[in-house]
Amino acid sequence: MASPKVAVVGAGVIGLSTALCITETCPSCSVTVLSDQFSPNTMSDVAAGMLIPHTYPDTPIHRQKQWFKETFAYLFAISNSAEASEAGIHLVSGWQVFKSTPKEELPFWSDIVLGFRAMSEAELLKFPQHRFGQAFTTLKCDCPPYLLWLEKRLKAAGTQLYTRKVTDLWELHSEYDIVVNCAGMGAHQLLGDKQLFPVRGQVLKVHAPWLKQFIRDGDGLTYIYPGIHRVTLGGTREKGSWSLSPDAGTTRDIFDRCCSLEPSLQGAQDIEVKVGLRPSRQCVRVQREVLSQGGVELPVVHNYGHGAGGFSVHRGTAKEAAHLVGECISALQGSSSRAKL
Amino acid sequence: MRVAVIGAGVIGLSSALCIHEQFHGLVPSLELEVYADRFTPHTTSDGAAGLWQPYLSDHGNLQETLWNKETFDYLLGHMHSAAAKEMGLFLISGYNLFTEPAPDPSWKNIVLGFRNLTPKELELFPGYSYGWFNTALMLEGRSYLPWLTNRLTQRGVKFFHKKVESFQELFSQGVDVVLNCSGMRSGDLQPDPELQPGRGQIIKVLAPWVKHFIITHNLKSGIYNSPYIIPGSEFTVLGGIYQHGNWSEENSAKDHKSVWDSCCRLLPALQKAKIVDEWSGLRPARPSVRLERESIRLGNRQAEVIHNYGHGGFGITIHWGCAMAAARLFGNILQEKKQLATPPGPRL
Repeated sequence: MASPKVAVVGAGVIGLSTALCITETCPSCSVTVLSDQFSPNTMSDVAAGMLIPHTYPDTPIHRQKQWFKETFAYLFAISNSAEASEAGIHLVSGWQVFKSTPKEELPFWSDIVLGFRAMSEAELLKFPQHRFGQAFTTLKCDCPPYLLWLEKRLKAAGTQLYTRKVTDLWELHSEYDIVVNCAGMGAHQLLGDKQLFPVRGQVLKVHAPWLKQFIRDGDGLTYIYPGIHRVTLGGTREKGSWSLSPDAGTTRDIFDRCCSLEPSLQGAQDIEVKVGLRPSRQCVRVQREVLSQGGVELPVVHNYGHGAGGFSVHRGTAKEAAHLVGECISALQGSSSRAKL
Repeated sequence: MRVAVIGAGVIGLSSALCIHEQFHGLVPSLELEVYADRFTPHTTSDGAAGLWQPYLSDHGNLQETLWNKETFDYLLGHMHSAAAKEMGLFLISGYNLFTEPAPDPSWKNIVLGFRNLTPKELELFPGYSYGWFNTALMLEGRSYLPWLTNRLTQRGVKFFHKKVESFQELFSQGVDVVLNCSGMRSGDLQPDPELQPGRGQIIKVLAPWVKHFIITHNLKSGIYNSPYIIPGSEFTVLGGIYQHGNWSEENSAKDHKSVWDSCCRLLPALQKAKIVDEWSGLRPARPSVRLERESIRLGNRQAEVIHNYGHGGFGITIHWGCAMAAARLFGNILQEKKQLATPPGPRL
């Protein structure tokens, strides 16, 4: 197989980063990204893109840690380079505060982010309703810039990007040798995966350029994440809700909760409301599968179900998926050389 | 009781506000006036980035360390108010970098979360092997000075746009007490060989992805002669010039290149930043701040001057502690003139 044809379905952070990893590990592959939406209209564009991992209940911790470590190292190098501003990657420091001391005072990722430590008494004075806190420095991927930067790298590597709604992975079998499913929430319709469910998140993106620090409530519901041009205020975690329409009552509630953590937000301007559906699963599905119909086989690599933690582990899962694509190619080459005998 | 403040930078305006807040209720005849030839946005304070950070060493000057602490605590106390944004006040974290281990600064327990840098953090800054991380405050002059001006105007303080040529000029008009907050130009009013310019030049850029201050130190070249990057609410300030004795307020091409090249080396992404402005200013440098009374005999009157100048590159950092000290000196004057039965309550 001289030039395996690989289709990547999905152009959010997972689809684009997986496609990029494939071009890196398999330069002879011809990679095409197919998606009904591209930045700035993907689910990823709604997210703040903070590198603070979400813990998946059914994925082994060491694997999650490896994914996060690889992602952090990759973005750290970009943030330190001349490309940082174009890629939308920047360091940000801040606090995670808890109303009651968490069971786990040291999360698995505490030695990967920078300068992780408990907050001092003096720092906690700023949060009278919170009794415990953690201070650290992490990275943020601003979207659209990060997705646009990935698209630019892909195009430079010869990847084709097409707007196309794929309704069934099988429809790709005649044009492509391998299909990589990075459809996020779209995998629900594509595959009927009953383990995949939406967790609705509403956020506000506001103009408050004096805010340089992130603040996150350890309950994961209230957060203030300063990006390059806008600050993301969140949020909600509505399990099972499919609604993409902003809710005015929710907007008011998010704003009030964030103002109680950071009173200066009262002066925020230009409030934009966005909604995303986190494609959630008990474990991220990074897995090979072979679809077959009438004697014809189609190798598929799945990389979806990242829920609230897509940005935090994207590069790690992309590399794993690219590795699986390599295995698919070897398998195809093995069977095609067998066919020649 | 007519009080004239000379100077409308951070020192003049904050001293005026502090005095008015403390004494206007106790001295019904108090009339406060501010005289300056430069007002915001044309003062030295407007050019400063606005980062609260004293010099590395206080040279044993504990009084100044205390004034710095008073200022930090005062500002931190305002962080929760709705006024913070209007004041140009916000929290910011960042890095101080060295090429060799340095002793902890006098302000390590004043700022929040002071700690040494980890090896991984130092990877961000090739060429630097040691450093600190802490959370401090920004107080942007271009917001703070108008905020102070509004507070003063609301209180009925009058402003006069003129260059005062001498203390006599004001005393002969009936002023009782002069607050000399004339910063760099104090020497024009009363020679002071200890007051020298510490010339700085800065480049203002658009780099909104920079969320931390980064201040490098070269213990041989001295303070602020090593690149620094300070992100503000709108622009990021690039600097690294401190020229003792240089009175020029003109931008120098050589200094521009030095600041630009060294800051881009420190943070490569800055190469893509758009330059929006450039400015040179004179830090009113002095071995120590001059904050003291001077009585001047004028015929049968005793006129009083309270000097409050010579804050070098830490005016914003120390301003409120000095304003309160100046107010205490004013209280003493009032007591002596029997304008006040007892001084106002103890203040830190």
